[in-house]
Amino acid sequence: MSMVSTVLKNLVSRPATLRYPSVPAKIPDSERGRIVYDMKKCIFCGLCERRCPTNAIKMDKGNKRQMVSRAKCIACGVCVESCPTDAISMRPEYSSPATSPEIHVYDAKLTTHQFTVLSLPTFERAKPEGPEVRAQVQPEPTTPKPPPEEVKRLGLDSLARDVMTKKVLTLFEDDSVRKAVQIMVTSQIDGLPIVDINMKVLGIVTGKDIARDAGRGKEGVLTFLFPRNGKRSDRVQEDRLRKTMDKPVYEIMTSPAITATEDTPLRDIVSLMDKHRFNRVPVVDVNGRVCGIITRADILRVIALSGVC
Amino acid sequence: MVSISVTPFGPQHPSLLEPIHLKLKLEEEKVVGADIVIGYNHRGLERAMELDFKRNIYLSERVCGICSFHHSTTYVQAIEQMAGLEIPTRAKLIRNVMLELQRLTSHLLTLGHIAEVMGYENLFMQTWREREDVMCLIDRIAGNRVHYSMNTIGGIRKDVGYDTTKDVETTLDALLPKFEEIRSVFAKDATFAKRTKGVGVLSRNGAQKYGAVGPTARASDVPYDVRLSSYAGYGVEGIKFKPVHRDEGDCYARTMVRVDELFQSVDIIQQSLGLLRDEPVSVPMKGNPTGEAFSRVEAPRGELFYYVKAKGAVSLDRVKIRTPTFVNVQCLAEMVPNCSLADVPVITVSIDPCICCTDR
Repeated sequence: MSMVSTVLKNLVSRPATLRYPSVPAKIPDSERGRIVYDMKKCIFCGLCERRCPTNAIKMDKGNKRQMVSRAKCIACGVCVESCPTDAISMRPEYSSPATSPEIHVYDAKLTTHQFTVLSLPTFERAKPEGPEVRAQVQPEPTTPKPPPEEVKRLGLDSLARDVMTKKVLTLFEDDSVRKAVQIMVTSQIDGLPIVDINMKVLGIVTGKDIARDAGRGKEGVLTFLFPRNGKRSDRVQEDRLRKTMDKPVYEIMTSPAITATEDTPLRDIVSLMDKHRFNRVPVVDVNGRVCGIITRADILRVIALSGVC
Repeated sequence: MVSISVTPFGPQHPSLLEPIHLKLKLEEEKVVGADIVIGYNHRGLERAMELDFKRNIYLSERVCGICSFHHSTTYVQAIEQMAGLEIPTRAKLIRNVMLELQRLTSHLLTLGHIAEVMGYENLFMQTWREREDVMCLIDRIAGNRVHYSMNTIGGIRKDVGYDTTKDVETTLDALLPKFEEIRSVFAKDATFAKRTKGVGVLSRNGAQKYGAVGPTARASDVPYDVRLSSYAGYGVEGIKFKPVHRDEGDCYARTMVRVDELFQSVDIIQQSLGLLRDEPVSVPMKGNPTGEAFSRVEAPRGELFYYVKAKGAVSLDRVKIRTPTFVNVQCLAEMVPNCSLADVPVITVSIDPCICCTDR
């Protein structure tokens, strides 16, 4: 058969494609779409968390919650196989697009297969949106609110929300110190707020914390700064530094961290920093999630703009 | 005296799906030589594979999207060899079926790509339409179109039922006449023959010198096929096949070898399905692997090679991947001289380069 006859046949036949999404796609029942939890059956054994090849599942035994990071999940079905009580099952569906990494939170308090969506902030988006419960089958569309556009004159009476740096870099509590150092060096900053999966501030890690931990030995802090002469001593120093680098940040962070709300006046923050000798104060929103940070650089900027000096 | 000018082909070029860079030395329109640069797509997967040998089953699939099952099969074979596991015949045959189904999708993709690079868009659409049937079939069997996640150390994770095997048979029966149409177009079409016959010739000596593998070697009269080494289910009693090979060594021969392998794959799948017997599909693996092993699989582009060195722990000492394109891409230096600049895209695509695999 030549190409001409194929072309003529295609001219009169119906198109081979479907007009998805106006026409529903043909998804087979065996399709591995995404996993769903039945929290009534879950016994919090933690097998799914341990077996997951991509560490997409995080268990919160205290709050009776299972958190699935959708961007990490590869839908391989290992958790479905490993679950001893068949609490996890696989749904055939195509995943809908999202603007930031999403975490599906399955809570024992919610009804079967229902979940809360938690959007992780991307680096560009400083302010995470609040938790929003949506039905399992038909998600409600959300309309983004336009930001209020007012130009405010900055001074000591300004509120924290106007002064703070909104692009705040954070780390999770089980990230390594090595990652913290990498971020500090590449972004040229001295300290990082440490948050949990709900973006609540647990503590702060600064260069001082890392130096103190790496230098802590029999001789105290000074060994790090002034190592004794001799090769053995150098090796000990290197080992100690490597050990510090491999620790999770929650072991060395300064905790609890003092935070300010978005409505705190700058005057209070300045006196707080002066009193406790802080260099930075994380700012949290009404839900207690970190949404910004005020450092000494921000205050210097206010002074420069307000024309005090 | 004509001066030699150097023209870049890639890493970004309309005819290329993935980044590869050829520095073409031109005398007016004629190519006199080429330097090949790879490495634009490096992701450090070999290092990532040293972390956890069980997670690697899923990670190895992600080395490449169009030979994912071949990658995971090669990896689990190496671990099975270290652990001394003999996997059940049913698992071997199901692996056969999936390996050959993926070869169908990969070859149909390449055939369409070759047609598209020549500007023959009708043929491109026709091959990709038939490919979609195979992709949907795989979706029904494995639950995903690209990453099957079916392999595990010691066999197959989930058995396929009677309905599924029946589905494979009926789909392939419906596809065979369509493949015949594709073969007749590729074999007889005047446009296609003019663009490919005598273009980009790789001699038998050249193929052996560069160590070419897969359809590239078989089109140059080197009947080398790793499937003859009887891995997976190819050594099971009752499965018969002979490597397809041609002796012209040009783009036409490379294309026709792939077209003929479509029928060979369908044949192997039908033979494998006929031999399926009821038995378990996996054997459990105990402990961590020790020692070292290598394993080879005939991927759609040629011989795929994994070397794994373990140390009796969850992490591994070394995983080395050598992909078929890594050797085939070097044959381009032998193929492109004395062709015209306009033929370079066709020649490059005719070896079916998969840069994603090669750069790992």
